[in-house]
Amino acid sequence: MRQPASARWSNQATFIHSLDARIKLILLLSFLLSIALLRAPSALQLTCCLLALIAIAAAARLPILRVLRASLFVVPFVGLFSLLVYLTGDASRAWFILAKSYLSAFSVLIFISSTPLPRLLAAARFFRLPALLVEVTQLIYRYLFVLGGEARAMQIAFRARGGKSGSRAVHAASGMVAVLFTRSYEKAAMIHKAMCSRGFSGNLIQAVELSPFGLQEGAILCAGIALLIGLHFV
Amino acid sequence: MHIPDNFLSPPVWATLDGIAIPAVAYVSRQAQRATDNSRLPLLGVMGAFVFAAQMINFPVGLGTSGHLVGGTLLACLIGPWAAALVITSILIVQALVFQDGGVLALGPNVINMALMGVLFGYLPARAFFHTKWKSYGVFAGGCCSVLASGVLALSELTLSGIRMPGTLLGASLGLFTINAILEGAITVSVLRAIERLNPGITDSVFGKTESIGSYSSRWPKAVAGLAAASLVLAAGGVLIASTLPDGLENVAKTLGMRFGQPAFVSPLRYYRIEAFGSEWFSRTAAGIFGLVLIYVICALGGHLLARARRSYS
Repeated sequence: MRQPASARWSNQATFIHSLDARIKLILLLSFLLSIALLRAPSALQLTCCLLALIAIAAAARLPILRVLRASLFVVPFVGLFSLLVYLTGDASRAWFILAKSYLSAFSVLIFISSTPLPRLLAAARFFRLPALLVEVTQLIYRYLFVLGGEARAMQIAFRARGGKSGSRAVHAASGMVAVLFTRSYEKAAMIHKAMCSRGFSGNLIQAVELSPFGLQEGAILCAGIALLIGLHFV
Repeated sequence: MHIPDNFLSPPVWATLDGIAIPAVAYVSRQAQRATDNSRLPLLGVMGAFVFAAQMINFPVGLGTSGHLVGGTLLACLIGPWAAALVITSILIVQALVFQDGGVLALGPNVINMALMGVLFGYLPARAFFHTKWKSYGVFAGGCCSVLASGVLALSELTLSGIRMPGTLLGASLGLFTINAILEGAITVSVLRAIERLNPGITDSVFGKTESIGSYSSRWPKAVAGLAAASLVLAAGGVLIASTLPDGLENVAKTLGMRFGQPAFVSPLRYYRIEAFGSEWFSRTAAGIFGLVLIYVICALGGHLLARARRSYS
């Protein structure tokens, strides 16, 4: 199981990447909020948002077409839903939901492609998210791909041995989950020992030092929020 | 069942976010109390385990396959508080890294799946765990967990003013029921296999078989009954609300409020600042003020509770 492409893109050194994660988090939330509050967005407003996001993606040197395509991921599910809204006779609202959901997904993807998760979690910790929640999130992200790879390997092994269907297959699948659980449980004990031997004392999120806000960060924050408010008067 | 952004109307998601934030803080404190440093890696790895277990296909016949959702299983293995926290973390990773579910809709998703999903999965399992109906309890837990999440998501959509025709609503409720039964069956089967490989793994959550008898027999059953009743009520409520949308709207009108308006705007309705001249701005300002108000009330309440508890001890 490979890491998503966004994780690979997040290790670059552009201006967008090096911007303080706290600023980016505030701006992302403000963007999502102002998109959500557009009750009946005009085509101009939607185009402005899309162009602004593309400009940010370009500044972060992300492969724009691939990011645009990856955000299409939301469309099947959202599309089904907005089709439903369309069929109940609310045609314009259906289009708004589709467009707004796409823009939201696009902005989240740009954000996560330009911010390594540890820095994002340090920012979340700065905003007083519970320490345990942040640490567990960090650990889940760390071991997700390890255990995911193991699960995939087990399924391939199952198929290679001719596993097909029927109640025996359900039995085998439960066995796989049970073995996966046992391995994870043992792994957790080993991870704890390894962490202790490296000086773990109950505090996981401190790898990234957060510097105080500078003038530049403040200016970017204000400009971003002013633009988002201005969006509603276009 | 991950709700993306912009599905729910702003009043609905804002209210649910406002509820979810203090709730998650509380859950996290409870989980912290039950967790020492040596269990921290366990929680993280269990989250990754649920992710991985969701990738394993369970063939259910007719060429289709289901997969584990995992809330109930996790609650049985590491306890309800830790399970709710781990599922919350999973939802955060899914929303941010995999764009599965919205960021602003995290509050509703956390309430549906992490808080209520785990609660409704844990209670039935707990009620019957040390009786001979243990498997049925776990099965009921898996069912209730998925049903509760689905019904909550549906009712949030209905509250957002999406009118679903009755047939469609029936179809989706039927789909939820099938999923719920699958989840129950898979949870029972997986839990049995895990206990065979790791005897005594659930002792830390449910206690040993001998010692718990009196505790698990009475009140959890009452709570489970209550939970089941409320679930049925909620499901019925959604059905009635969707088949009689006009009736519900009439009731709301006679009560003096209209759908699509946040409940917390009302105290601020007369404070709209005309100088800004914008409907949007005043509404947003009122909404943000409402959120801040909720936050302050929660913080104050928590502070007072903490003080009361300190004076007891």
